[in-house]
Amino acid sequence: MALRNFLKFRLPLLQHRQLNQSISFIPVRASSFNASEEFKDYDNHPDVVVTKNPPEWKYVERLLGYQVIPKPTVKSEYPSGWTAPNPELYKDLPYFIERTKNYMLPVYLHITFRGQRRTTLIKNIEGDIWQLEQELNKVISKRVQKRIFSRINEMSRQIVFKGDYVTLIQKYLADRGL
Amino acid sequence: MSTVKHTTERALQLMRQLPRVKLNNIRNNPGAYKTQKRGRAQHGGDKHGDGMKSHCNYMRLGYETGNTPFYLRFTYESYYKDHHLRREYPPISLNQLQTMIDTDRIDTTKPIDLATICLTGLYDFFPDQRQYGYQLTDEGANIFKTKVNIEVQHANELVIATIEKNGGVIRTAYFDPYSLQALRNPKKFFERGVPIPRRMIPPQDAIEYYSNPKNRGYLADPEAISHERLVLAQKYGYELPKIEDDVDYEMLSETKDPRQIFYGLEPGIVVNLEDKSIIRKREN
Repeated sequence: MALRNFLKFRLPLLQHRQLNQSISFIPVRASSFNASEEFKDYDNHPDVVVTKNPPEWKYVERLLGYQVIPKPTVKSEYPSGWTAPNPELYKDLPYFIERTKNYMLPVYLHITFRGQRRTTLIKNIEGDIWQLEQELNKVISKRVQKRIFSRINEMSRQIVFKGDYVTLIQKYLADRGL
Repeated sequence: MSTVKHTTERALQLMRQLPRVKLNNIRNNPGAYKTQKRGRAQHGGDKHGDGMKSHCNYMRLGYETGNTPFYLRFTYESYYKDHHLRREYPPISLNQLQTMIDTDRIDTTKPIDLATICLTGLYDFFPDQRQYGYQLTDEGANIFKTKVNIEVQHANELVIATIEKNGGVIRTAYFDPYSLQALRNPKKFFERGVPIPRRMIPPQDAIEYYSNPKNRGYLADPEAISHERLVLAQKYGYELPKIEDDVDYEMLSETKDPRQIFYGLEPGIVVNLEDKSIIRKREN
């Protein structure tokens, strides 16, 4: 009975110990932190050198980024199609569209009802919102050869067009220097 | 006295008077649809569609008539097999990258890596959701113009060709989730005051991708990569710009060690942002 009990409780332990011994010969793999050294007492930590204003600091500064969104500089060309606002062109217009904080035109596509409804939203409109809607309506309906439905919210300075006309509207506004 | 009309003529005259067929007045033919009704006589409603199987009030659980249970009726498609092992690379297109460069969100006089992309504030990813950095997609390959030294996590052939055609350098590199957390927000990582860790080597199923010179893998042989650059230039038919003669050779040749996370900062050092100092182990 005693022997049986011994085997029942001690044998797995003995086997475990043997297993551990065999594990110690497996080479260290660098694909996981499980292989790294265990954390020891603070007193065992190595001596350190503190370098003030080190030559590597330029690499650190590169990783800190900017606090304020940088204003795009004037370039000879913008391959992405982005355009800078041109006051010379838009100063005589009865309306104005303010750029977003990212210096982009506030023209957005909204997809609702699982792609069944697509609407184009224009924001930040100042001045004669009614004339802007008329002009855009004329341009789009001429291009797509059908009647365009739109909604003007004068209070929140927004226009919504039914349909996806983002590129068309962005191009029209960019041509007018907005 | 009116003349006797032909039947066809009379039918046509009738049709002229009748309203036109429109969406609001079309109807189905009578009897085209049969509404289902439950029988009310002796054996009318006692089987509930299950034939002679049983005379139960409802179907047997898991069955909808027949001998095939519902869960075996349709084939099994394992869309989510191994989802816990798959790596995801949220995309950034060449068009988006060009817009970031045009609006001065990215400085092309310095090498671009995942940290640079995250610092724009226009891209974010979640390492804890198995997102392992970004993939550069080929949308806008026709408009891309800038010479860059860029490190991505995944890129296809057209993207590699586009970058190299414009005189740039592209490299695909793997980062483990802990390194990705550091790259996602370097400032936050430095503020923790812990040493910069060593980058782990890729897992077994990613080693092949990252050591392939065709993918410009960071573990590939540099000579094999320069050969593949020439092969790709011939395939896509452009003249390969010579990096050695470039004015920005120093920037274009800047690379990371396979065990390094940040450019110019070796693993094991602690960055103190407050004192502008770097703490490293004293060498004997």
